[in-house]
Amino acid sequence: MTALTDAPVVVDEAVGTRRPRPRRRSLAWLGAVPFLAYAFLFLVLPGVSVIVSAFQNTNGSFTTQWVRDLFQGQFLSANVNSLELAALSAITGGVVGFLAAYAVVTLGRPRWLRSFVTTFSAVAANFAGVPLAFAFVATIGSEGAMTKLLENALGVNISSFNLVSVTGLVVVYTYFQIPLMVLVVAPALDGLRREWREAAANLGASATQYWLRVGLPVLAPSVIGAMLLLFASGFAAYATAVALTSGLVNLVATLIGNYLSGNVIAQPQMGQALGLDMLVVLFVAVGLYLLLQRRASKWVR
Amino acid sequence: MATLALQGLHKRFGTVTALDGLDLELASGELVSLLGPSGCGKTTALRIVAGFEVATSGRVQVAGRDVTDVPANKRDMGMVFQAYSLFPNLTAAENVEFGLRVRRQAKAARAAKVAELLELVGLASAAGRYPYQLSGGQQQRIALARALAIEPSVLLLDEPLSALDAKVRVNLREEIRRIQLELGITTLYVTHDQEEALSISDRVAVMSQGRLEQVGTPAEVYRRPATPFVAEFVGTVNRLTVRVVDPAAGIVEHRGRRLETAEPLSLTAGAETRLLVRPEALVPSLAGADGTADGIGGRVVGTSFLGAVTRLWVDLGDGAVVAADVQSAAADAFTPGTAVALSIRPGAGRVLASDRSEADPVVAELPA
Repeated sequence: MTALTDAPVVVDEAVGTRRPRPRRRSLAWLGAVPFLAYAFLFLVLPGVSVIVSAFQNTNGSFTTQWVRDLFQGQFLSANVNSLELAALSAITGGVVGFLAAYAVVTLGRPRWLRSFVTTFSAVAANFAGVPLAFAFVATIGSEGAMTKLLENALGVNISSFNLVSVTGLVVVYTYFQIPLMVLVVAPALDGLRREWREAAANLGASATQYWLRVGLPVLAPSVIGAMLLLFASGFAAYATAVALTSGLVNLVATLIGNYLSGNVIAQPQMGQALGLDMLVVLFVAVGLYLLLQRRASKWVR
Repeated sequence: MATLALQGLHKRFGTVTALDGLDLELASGELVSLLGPSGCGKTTALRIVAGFEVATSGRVQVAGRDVTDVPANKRDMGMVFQAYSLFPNLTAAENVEFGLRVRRQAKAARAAKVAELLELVGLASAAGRYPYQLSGGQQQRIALARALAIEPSVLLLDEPLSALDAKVRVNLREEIRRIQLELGITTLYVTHDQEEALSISDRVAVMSQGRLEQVGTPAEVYRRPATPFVAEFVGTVNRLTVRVVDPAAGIVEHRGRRLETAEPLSLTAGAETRLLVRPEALVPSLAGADGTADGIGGRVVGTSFLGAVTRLWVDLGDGAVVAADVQSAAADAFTPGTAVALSIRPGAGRVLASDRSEADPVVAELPA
């Protein structure tokens, strides 16, 4: 008699009967333990600490003062600047990066181009901080090589362009936003099947009609999702902004740095409130990204 | 419905010749299958007809109109791809409606057409589902409905069943044929599956290395293969090394035994050639106790159950192994080791003028 069971069943070759095979517990999860422990200690715990401290007074009692301050004065201005910087650099880097990724993915040749662009993007996306700031100052700063070259060779004067501004930061951030976009959106472009384009043409659609009705709607979740990641990256970037502007441009990230390093009046709770501010923005951006990715993966599976 | 003509199509990809002078005409309402192994050029031919590839030379005509230089989106052809061609962001109904929207048809007309076609392919209840919510067979039905919605002059099918399970494949190919006959639409069907091609086509065009080997009805291609390639690619065939005895009467000799072929031979008496015999034309019978019988003697070395028939693998004694089919109900008598005598149905053997005996007489490989 065979018992009903939801356990996997194997055929016993010797006697031809079925017997339940005991489930084996995989130990693969052990590999994730170091990472999870690290994330818990240095991401989750500090995050909880930031949230709690943002609502605590100097004597430890509950207050919403710090959070309310976020919407006033220099804090409001920092938020506006950071959002503007994040949005502009995400849009610029997103559009340029998308076009670059599209060109590389669809061209396919020469064969080395794809791997070259991917490798370069992986490096460039992580090129930030003092080296990046120096590179831009040395290139298009008021005394930069390109500034002088344009002035001497073509009579074009760009020395009035101020790198130490939100616009200047957008230009600099775009340097790592473009390759980041290439890395994130290239797999989505790979998922755009040739059959869809051909089927649309076969049904009488022009290239424009195909892109409007199929190509862009299919890519939209991935592209918008990728731009949200860029937005988050632009909002949270710290080292490049500090290296380039020395805190002269009022941003959330640099304000947090100032509060935590004691460069201004010691108000660690305000720094924690700014940290909470950044956490909320990042959670919203990443949450939307995950939602869009879920939709995108559903369509192309 | 329109006729379709492929005239002298050549296609080269760098140094590779994909099509080497393909000529084929489809009558109005006819279903012709391009049948051949992978890389024979059949899909390239279909893509040239659809306008997705440009022929190196040659012309494509639809109803007498030259469409060689007409872009794919102006050719008025419906196409069903191998798989994954449904637009993933649109429901089944929206997919079917796509071509009609592009043509700016009125909403009511579009809705009526979509409903009619979903009914035709038996998926009216799946109108609101997205492709990822449909099985492979359902997706291909929707793809067929989408291709038919624009009422194309020609329907092109590029191995539409290749990604499906065996049972679904059989059901859907019959459905495709039913719909094609119902609509009377001229259809070019690409497949590498000979059973599929033989079962649904008015004519089969067998291709090899960019050329047409033979074009004929399924029965003609199967029974009267024009070339050794067709004989071997379409169905299983045994090759027996024989010597021509009486060319005018179509008589050959195999191991001292006279055999009657299907038709007079263009070879001279005494010439050595090969006789092609299908497994079902080789009739096995049990040899006598002394191992002799009236027929080609051999010994069963293996059997393959194929359903209604069982295929016997018979060693003729000199390393040559032939395949012979027997009704499965009577197959129990032919166990491995059994001595048998094989006779050939009169007129069932065929000699190809181009098929000189060059190789060993092994005619069908024993499956591993």
